[in-house]
Amino acid sequence: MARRGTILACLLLGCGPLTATSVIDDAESALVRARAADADRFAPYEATLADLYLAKAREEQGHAHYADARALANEALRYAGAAARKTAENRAAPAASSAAVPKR
Amino acid sequence: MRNLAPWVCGLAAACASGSALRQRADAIGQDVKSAKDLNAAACAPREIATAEANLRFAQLALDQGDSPRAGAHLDTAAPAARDALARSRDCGNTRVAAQTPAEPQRALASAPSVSAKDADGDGVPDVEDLCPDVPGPAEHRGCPVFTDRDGDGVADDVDRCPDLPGPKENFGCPWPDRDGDRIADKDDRCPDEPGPRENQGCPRRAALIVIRRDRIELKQQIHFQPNRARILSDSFDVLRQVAEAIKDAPVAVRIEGHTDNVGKRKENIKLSQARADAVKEYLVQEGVESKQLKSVGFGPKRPIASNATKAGRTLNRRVEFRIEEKSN
Repeated sequence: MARRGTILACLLLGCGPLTATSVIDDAESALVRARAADADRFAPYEATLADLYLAKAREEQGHAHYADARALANEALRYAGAAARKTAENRAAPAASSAAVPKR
Repeated sequence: MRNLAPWVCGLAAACASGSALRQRADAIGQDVKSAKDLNAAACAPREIATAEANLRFAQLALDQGDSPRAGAHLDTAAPAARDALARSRDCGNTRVAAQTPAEPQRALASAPSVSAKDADGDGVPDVEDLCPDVPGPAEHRGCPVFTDRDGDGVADDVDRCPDLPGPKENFGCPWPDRDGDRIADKDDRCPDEPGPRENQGCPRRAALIVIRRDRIELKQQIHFQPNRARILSDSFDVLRQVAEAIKDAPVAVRIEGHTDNVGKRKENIKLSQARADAVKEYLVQEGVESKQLKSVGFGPKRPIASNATKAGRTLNRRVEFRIEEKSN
């Protein structure tokens, strides 16, 4: 019954807001996870891009440009994933070479 | 026809404005491309990301026909792109200057990150170099490799005792231990007298008891409430020491209760037994195994002094600890 209601709502109103919101939420979660792993330090380029694309996706959603919002949120999601991957790689690399003695 | 004129003029102005913005976006795009070619993602990551993203947003706004927003995004993108380009140029110049002079062409060809800054010239760009001021191989993230002869995790060049393992907090040297009880002086409450760890490095004091071959001698008699088997608190210290001594040695101990001859003999035997039992119970509470202990009340049967005097009777009212045999 709920599924029929959702389909009916989609037919009447369009599913743009729903899907855009869903992707934005996913991108936001991915970025939060990447930042929790210190992506701002280990992958600043990707993290900054993800942040800017996410903000822009929200802005476009506010202007009811749902397709653009979804596309931007997808980009944000992609960059957040890249930031998380790069962070994991860069964090693992120093641990592997424990014999190194930082002089800073 | 006159009514259409403002619309036509407006459209023409919008087209002209859109075209100018696109040209501006193309110029900024060139800067972004140049910066990225100079490894701006490593040299100026936030600047290049800001420029790149805002350029993309400006193009989106232009596609939507929203010139003001496109202009605003280009206003953000332009300085960021210039900044990224400038930083990347600095970054790249330093990196090239620091490359191995013998094979500059090979280094340029083999290292895609040739434009990254490398202050110590070790071939590892500063952004990836954990030791940017000290040369070190890439497999150690640009840090030098030091030996560590004593294996204490403190490299020999900073280890004040390179052949003795010691914590980093003490510059690789072991903490001093004057009394040699394996408890560092800083943690030892008695640094000049050896003692076990559980006693904070102090020797166990047995001032109130002396352990003989066949008995534990008390320097302070155990005190009870008059005519009762309740131990007074001033005797707890001596009993604790007795308990520690019995716990340390696997011996069986007979606790003997004695009285003077004042009162009925039967009552005295009963009281001495109750007192010996009370002492046993206390020692068990202190951790002595019950099977090591036996309590006996002798009453007035075994005096050690004359009951004719007060001093003698005081000596006769006592508890004794007899070591019977090796336990187990």
